Amino acid sequence: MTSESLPDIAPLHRRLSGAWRALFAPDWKRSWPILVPLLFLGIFFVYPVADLLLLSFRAPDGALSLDQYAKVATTPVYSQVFFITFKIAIMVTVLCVAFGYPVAYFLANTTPKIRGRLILLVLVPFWTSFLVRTFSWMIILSYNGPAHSAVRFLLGDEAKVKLIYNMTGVMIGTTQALMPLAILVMTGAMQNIDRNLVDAAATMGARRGQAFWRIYFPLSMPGVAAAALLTFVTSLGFFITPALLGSPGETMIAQIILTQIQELLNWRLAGALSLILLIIALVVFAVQDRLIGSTGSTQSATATEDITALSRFLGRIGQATLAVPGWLTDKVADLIEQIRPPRADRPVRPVMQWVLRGFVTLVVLFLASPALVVIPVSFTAGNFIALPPEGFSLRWYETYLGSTLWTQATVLSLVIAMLAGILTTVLGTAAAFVLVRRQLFAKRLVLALFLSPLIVPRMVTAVALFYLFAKIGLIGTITGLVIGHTILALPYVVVTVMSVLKSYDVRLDQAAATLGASPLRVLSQVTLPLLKVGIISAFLFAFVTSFDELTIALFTSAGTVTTLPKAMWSDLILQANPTLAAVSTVILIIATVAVLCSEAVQRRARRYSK
Amino acid sequence: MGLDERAADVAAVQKVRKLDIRAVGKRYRSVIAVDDVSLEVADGEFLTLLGPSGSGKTTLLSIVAGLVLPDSGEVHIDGRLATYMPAHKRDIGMVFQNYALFPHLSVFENIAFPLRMRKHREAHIRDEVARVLGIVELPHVADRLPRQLSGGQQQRIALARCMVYQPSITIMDEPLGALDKGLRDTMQLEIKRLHQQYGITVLYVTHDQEEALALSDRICLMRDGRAEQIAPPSELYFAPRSVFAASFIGDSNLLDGRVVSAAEGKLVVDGSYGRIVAEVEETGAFDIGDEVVALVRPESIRLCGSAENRENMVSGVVDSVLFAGGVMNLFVRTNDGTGFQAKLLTSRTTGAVERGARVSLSWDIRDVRLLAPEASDDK
Ligand SMILES: Nc1ncnc2c1ncn2[C@@H]1O[C@H](COP(=O)(O)OP(=O)(O)OP(=O)(O)O)[C@@H](O)[C@H]1O
Ligand SMILES: [Mg+2]
Repeated sequence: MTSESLPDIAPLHRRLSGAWRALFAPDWKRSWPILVPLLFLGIFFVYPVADLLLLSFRAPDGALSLDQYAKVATTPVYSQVFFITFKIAIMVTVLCVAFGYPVAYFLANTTPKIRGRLILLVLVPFWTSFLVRTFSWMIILSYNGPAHSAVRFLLGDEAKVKLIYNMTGVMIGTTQALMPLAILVMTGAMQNIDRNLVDAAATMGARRGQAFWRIYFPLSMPGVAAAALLTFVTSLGFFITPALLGSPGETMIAQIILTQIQELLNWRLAGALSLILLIIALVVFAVQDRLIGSTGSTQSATATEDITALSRFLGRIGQATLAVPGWLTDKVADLIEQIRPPRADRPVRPVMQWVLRGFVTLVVLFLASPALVVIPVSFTAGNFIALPPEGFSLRWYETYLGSTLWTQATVLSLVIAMLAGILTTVLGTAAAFVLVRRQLFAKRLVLALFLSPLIVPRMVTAVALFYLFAKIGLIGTITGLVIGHTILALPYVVVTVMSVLKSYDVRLDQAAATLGASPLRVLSQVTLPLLKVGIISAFLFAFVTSFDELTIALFTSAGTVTTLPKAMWSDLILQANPTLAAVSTVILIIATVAVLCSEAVQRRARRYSK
Repeated sequence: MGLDERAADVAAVQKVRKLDIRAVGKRYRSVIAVDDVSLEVADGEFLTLLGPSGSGKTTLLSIVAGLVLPDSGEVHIDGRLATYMPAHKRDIGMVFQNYALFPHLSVFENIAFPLRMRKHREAHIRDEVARVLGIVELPHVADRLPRQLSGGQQQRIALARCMVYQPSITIMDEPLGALDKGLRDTMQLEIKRLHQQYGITVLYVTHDQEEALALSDRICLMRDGRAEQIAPPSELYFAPRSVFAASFIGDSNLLDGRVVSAAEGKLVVDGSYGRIVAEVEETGAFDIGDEVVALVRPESIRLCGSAENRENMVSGVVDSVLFAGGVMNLFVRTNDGTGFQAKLLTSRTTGAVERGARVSLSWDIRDVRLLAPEASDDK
């Protein structure tokens, strides 16, 4: 062999031996803690979901069959439901992004203090129970509720505006539910935009409008795309809002899956619909990864040419397109300047600032305040839900406390939330530790696995678990509910603890070790105390997720083991009554306590770090 | 000399006054970021704001650029009132510390941006961009995105983008702060060349005193939002008006003492280390009994024989010797414990000085500058 041929072989050889080592001699000895959560996820998530999806391909005699898919394709009802689901998802996405954008812009460009407070308000819908929120929309939007009164007052008695049991109702409820997500994602992306860029544009002669459209707006597009796709995928799986605020005309795919199981016990069709829903979600995520993942990463030298050509092409189109709004805002600014010329001797009134602030206030009110209507309603003395309430009484609280159904459900939900919170925190923290600290084979894949309960629509997970639990007798048990809720909350805990761990200075551990602490003592006396805040936040989040969880409870609850959301749901479908307002108020109080705990813990931690 | 120079300055400023800042103030809640600063910049002048972190340099620049509105005072640009004029109407160019190149636009589009905002014709834009790319010697990068350029190249493009529309004033906020030492020196020369060749008016900010001394026509030394002293580099170095100015620029021996006599343009100061004689222009500045601080630059100090009789002379023991090639830093401690630093040109005789040796130091009476002590209530 000549020496010239060596350089060709050496890198290949090195790569092969690297893979070899990764495969057969990974850091398993120190990575074992991740095996427990992995096993848990494998048994209670991956296996049942795969089982359900495979079921859709199996004829009753066990042979391979596509008859369920043929049924979906040929029955007009299904294609119609898919069409409606898409329509709702697209409309909601547009609303969330369009109304959320100015709010995100404001949040990203204000002081950290105001941002912190406003984000807390924006997140109110995130913390308050989904059912409570939907219920409060039912109160506000009902035919003799305040919203219709306002419309009648403004447009006259003949106005034929309907705000509920149609698309409008579904839009209002779903937009409120998902806009916080869109706002958070966009705010995060916008905070990374350098403010100097807009200032630079201004010094170079760009009006505020031009600077925004030509510089800020294009730079915020990746955040907008991420927010849109996340909103879209999440809304695909919705069933509570269309069921309670819409009409049969707004039936979405998750509702069909629900009825297939609950009323017809048609596992195979439910499996087929689940697979289709899952594939749509995965495709959308893949598209997002392609679109956004690539722009952020660094390019290799060979890719430079392509990207330059492409970005130049896109840049031209973008410039041409953005010239229009830029030109428009310029004209408006011209007009304003003609009416009220800017003067060098006194500050211009920040009119746009006030417009923006007004808009943000309205959106935040829309997000944060509706749930509060359940409080006055719960004190009504009348027999029916009314806003404003008729008189004042505590009778509905007496009804609530006097009913074993409600009190049992409340205690059960608290117990399950506590257990699920603890289990999730333990499993999630172990997984996060290994993912951040250890060399692991196929780390990205393992991480993706831990995040997958977020991507797989909840309805799919719930049906799959139902199928599994039915076989192993976990229906109607606390264990079953805790397992289900743990699966759903696990991604949040893993992400939260991982982000805390990433910013954790490993040298502190090393310092403790050199000072003579054993690994166990390092963990218990240095690492965990320092990570306490992140872990407590993660626990509270898991707690609230479980406390509010309906989808899994719909299938897994039974008889005396019925959670609070399940009990509320049953009443909401049959007959909404003021007891529900009392229950909702109790739920609000519990959620508020959880939020305040998490805030207090974080505030104390911030004092630490100063 | 100081007076004459100042008179010349005033004449220059009256000729063409590009920028006129009058008693400008800005506060953020409890922090006074800019405190009653007045400053004039003449056409073609290179004026540097120099000062410690948080002294209000960026805030003052932003007020000039129209990015921050002042609470009080006035700003005039090219003789026109511009205090609250929107940034985009001021015709100012700004180079930011992190360059602020638009990451989604090519180098060409970045440089074309100000021209597009001024609605120039496409052909004109193409010519102008090519011209300035030539000036910064990077004609081949027009199609790249900013992130495909090195730090130094990005810096040049930021300069080019600022030059292309020939703004009335060019503002630079620590433009070289992100570069490493070697590149910083190259870019200093580049900026100096562009300033001299094209006669642009520059308002510059830096942390780095050497950079300020090398580039500037005048330096405005900032402290806690105030303009401590505005003067040409040499005057700032040789005739600082405060202990802060003296210690911020260059190395200095600052010696506490009390005035014991004043006669014939000479002041005599007594301190624990001994006696200092200083030649002063006006004797009236200090009275007998006043506390003063005497500034003696290390390079003004010479070694002398212990038998000689000089007006300014102390003797002590050599604490340490730092040999730095052409110069040598000598740290000497007198009997009372006062430390003196002397910067000597190396020669065979000075090379013989060793740690622990007893030496005598002397300096000329004209090399002493007397300053009022800092107010002790300073935090
Ligand atoms: N937007 C702001 N809000 C509140 N305080 C501010 C703001 N901008 C500046 N300050 C304060 O004003 C003072 C002056 O800040 P400035 O940025 O002008 O200093 P600087 O001289 O540029 O400092 P550096 O050399 O660190 O850049 C500082 O105390 C700073 O904390
Ligand atoms: Mg600064």
